[in-house]
Amino acid sequence: MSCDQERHIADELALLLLDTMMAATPPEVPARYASVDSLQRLHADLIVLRDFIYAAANGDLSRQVPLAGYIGGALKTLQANLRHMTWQTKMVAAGDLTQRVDFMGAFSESFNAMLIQFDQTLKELVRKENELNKVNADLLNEIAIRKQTEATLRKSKEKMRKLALTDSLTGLYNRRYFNRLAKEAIIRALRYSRPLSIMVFDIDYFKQVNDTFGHNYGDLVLKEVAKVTREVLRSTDIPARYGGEEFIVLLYETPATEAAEVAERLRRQLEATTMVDSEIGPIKITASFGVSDDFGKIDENHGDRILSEFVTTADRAMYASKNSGRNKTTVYTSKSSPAAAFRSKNLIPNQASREQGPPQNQN
Amino acid sequence: MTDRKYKFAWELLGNIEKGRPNLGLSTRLEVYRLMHFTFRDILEQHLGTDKTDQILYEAGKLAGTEFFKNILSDIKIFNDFLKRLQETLRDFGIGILRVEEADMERGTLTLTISEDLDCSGLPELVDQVCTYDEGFLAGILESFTGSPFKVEEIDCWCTGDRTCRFKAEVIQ
Repeated sequence: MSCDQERHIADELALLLLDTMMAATPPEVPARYASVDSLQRLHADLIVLRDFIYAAANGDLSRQVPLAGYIGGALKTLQANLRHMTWQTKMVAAGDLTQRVDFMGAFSESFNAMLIQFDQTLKELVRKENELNKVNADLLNEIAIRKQTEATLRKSKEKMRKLALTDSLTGLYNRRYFNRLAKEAIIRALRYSRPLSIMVFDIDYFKQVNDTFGHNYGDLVLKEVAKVTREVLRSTDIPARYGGEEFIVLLYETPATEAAEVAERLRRQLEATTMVDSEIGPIKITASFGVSDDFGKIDENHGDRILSEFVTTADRAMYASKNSGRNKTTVYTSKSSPAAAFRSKNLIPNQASREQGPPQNQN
Repeated sequence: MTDRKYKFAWELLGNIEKGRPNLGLSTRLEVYRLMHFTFRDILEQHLGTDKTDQILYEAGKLAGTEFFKNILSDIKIFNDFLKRLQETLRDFGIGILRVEEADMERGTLTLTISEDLDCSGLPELVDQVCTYDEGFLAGILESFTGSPFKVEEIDCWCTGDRTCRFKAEVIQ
């Protein structure tokens, strides 16, 4: 074989191998070289390498490198590194930021720097979240304290309001609040021509209770009287302590005759009740009652004066009971009352008189 | 066997610092390989290839078991275990362990060891030689998981692969 022939064959084989490496579709080994085993093997290995490199370049790291030796070994090392990095990335995704790459040159440095940055950022975020949580907890605590303070203030305000409206001993409404309610009731009764009564009652001989048993027992008696009164009265009736041992009741939508029946029930119950058991015996009392539904002049612009006259009529009836032997109910009536149409003609048994003159001072 | 001359125990490795105040903890790698491969040679002459591989695998497994018991046994979480194993194998100069896959639900792992104590740098041979390593990894994995493992080397430096790749599977 001449030198030219040899050069030609070498050139042909070199082009075959170059095309096998570089062409999009690798050429087959020409038939005239089919019997050259080493060429067939080299060609087959290059095809395998092409396929492996192409697959790896497109992200498929699962293929086996079926070659040994320098190139095969280097590719296996590269494959092992990439697969290990994939596993490390999974670990990072699972929260392990301590993973470090140490086999990919500049990439390793960047990857590790990124993880360190992640780690620091995450720690900073956690720190800030903890701070926010703490601030949030402090705020919630502050809100809770303020709510508690508000609730305490509301309670205190309610207590003050109640104290302003009620009598501290008996728990009934006080005179001032009663007057306010009564004035409103009178105005409504006048405006709509509805019946309205006032009942006044005074404990008989209460001074003797104080003198005999002492003021502490006197207070207990007043409390018990208030308790019995609340129990006997209807839910719509408004009782109040008017002063000393005198009580007053506002009875909505009630003419004097019906108010007198209520007064009688209460009078009998007070008489029947043992107020207090003292060291020297049980304390029992009676009370004298006056009832009126006569609120006089029909002028709702003078509520104070009307109330005063209204209470005075009930007072006069109560003193009539006192003057006629006590432990009685007296009804005050007047033809001028707008509620007269609602009055019953029947008088109650203990009634002393239907209309009385000026009251006299006595217990 | 009742009258054994030597039963391995970790303590029998001795106090190396005390015993080698001048030469220290390390020796040259050739010495290790000299011992390892001369053993393999003589064992193979006396017992054949298969029996020799079996003995080296079992010896490696005993080593792995003891290594885990004395160096790694305080770890309970799998990922922590792998990380610590990587660090320890590197610190001890055994090799650079990398994990390619770890699926503990299926009980399979693919690991590579670069710069392996036994074989990296060896001339190209026909057969894989890291049988001791296979047993060593099996002993460690069995000790951690409590399940029996079979470890097989699927690529080896000395067959021209530049890195040693092991496939580990739980024996069902």
